Amino acid sequence: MAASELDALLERFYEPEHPELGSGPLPVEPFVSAEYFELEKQHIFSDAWMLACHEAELPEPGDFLIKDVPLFHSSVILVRGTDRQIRAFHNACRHRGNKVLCTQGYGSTKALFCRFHGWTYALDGRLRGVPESDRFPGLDKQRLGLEPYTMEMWNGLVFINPARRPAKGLREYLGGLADALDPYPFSSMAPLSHHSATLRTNWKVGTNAFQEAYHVPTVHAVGAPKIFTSRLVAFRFHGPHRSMTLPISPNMSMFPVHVLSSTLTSGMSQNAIDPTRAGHFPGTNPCNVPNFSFDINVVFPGTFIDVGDGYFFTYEFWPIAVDRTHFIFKSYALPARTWGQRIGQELSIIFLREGVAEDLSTLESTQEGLETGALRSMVLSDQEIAIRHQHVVVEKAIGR
Amino acid sequence: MQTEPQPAPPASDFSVLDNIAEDWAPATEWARRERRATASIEELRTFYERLRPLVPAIAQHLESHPVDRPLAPREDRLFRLAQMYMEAAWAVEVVGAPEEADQVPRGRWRITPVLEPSSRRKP
Repeated sequence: MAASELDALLERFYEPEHPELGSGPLPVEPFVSAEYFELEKQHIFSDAWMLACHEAELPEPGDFLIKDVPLFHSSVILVRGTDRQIRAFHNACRHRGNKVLCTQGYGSTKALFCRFHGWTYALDGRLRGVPESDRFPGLDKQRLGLEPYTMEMWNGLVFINPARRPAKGLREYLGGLADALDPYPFSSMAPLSHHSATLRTNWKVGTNAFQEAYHVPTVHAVGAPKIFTSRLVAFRFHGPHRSMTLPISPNMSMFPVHVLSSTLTSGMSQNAIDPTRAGHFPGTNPCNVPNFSFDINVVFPGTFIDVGDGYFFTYEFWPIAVDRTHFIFKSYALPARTWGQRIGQELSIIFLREGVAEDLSTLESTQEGLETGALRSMVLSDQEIAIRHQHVVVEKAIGR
Repeated sequence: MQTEPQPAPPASDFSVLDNIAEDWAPATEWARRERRATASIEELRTFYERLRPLVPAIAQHLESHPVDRPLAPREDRLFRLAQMYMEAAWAVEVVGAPEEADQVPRGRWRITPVLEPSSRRKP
């Protein structure tokens, strides 16, 4: 019964159900034009909520993460205060602008100390200490706290926005996608892995590679043979955002190490390759797709939150230039309750890391091919409707 | 019919692994990936075959240790060997080579360490 339901989903055509997205070829210009990219910067990224981290990445007061927003030359300090609140600040001393924290990535501190002249800020951003403060007549410390960076949390996830006053708050921006994912227990999950790469590619070449499964039989011929099909199903559009479901292949077969891992791990993630474990985890699989593996959820423009049973993973696409993108991939799972489960989770880390490394292998060669000027447009299959949706959303946002 | 739970094997049963732990128990994901990429497939297969029958027993042995506390050095070494087994198994069973050709080069695919469960609660 379930198999025939899945077959019907796999054979379904989605374009006819969404005539508003059109059906013709897409132009190449958006991937290679500096002018087009400038419009995206002005009209999309200047007021876009982008995922920065999960709250569990900053578990203790004083834990911080330096997050770069390269398109706007911003360095953002995300830090958990003694009151356990996570806040975001521009990483610039209020004295003469030096970076307060010159490190990269994660760290822990008792205070935010600028090494240039020793100005010191509390974890909540208040200016606490100024050496030789009597040399600054009329200095008002109350007004010289670190400049806040726009940040909001939703369901355990921390988002930032370059706009000082975003047109929409985070929850309103996420809209129907947040409604669908509200039940998902992100806060119960713990970080498993964190990988990143800077790529010579347009950000949309990147996002497009992760919102279709047409490439699975070729790009994932080694890492995931016979685990997935070349089809995504149950496409859902939430304003500028979109969701879709990846089923496990009815002809799926497992390697011995998959079997070993699934016997060790109950929380993650071998249900991704073992359909007998695929249940109805809260916030997943709203269309009850048989052989459920995971849902792909794209928060426009550059964040993916892909959710499965007891695990999820995120992609962040941070544009740098028309042909340059910083990519971050992180995975999370219900915490292992035993060391045996933790051993089982190790395969999940490797499976995801190697699979995404396969995905990344095409991004620069696609960009190079588009830059040759040989093509003026590209044709899309019915299965690539998410790419079509993204194009329509971008065109509308930049006023085309 | 109900079967009696089997007692976890004592750590001494893993003494056969002592002489390979130095080479095959890197402490970080980055180091395990490097170990795999710089080994030959024959070396990986030898390690894989040696560990394969012991991994379930290692997992069972570690069950008695709280996951939110650091392991003792001997148990930690067993855990890291089991982690490395997963890397080797990927190379031996899935890829058939230490590394896959059509991937972003590993030198550009940066790994940032995450907090292990045992590091999340301060003692």
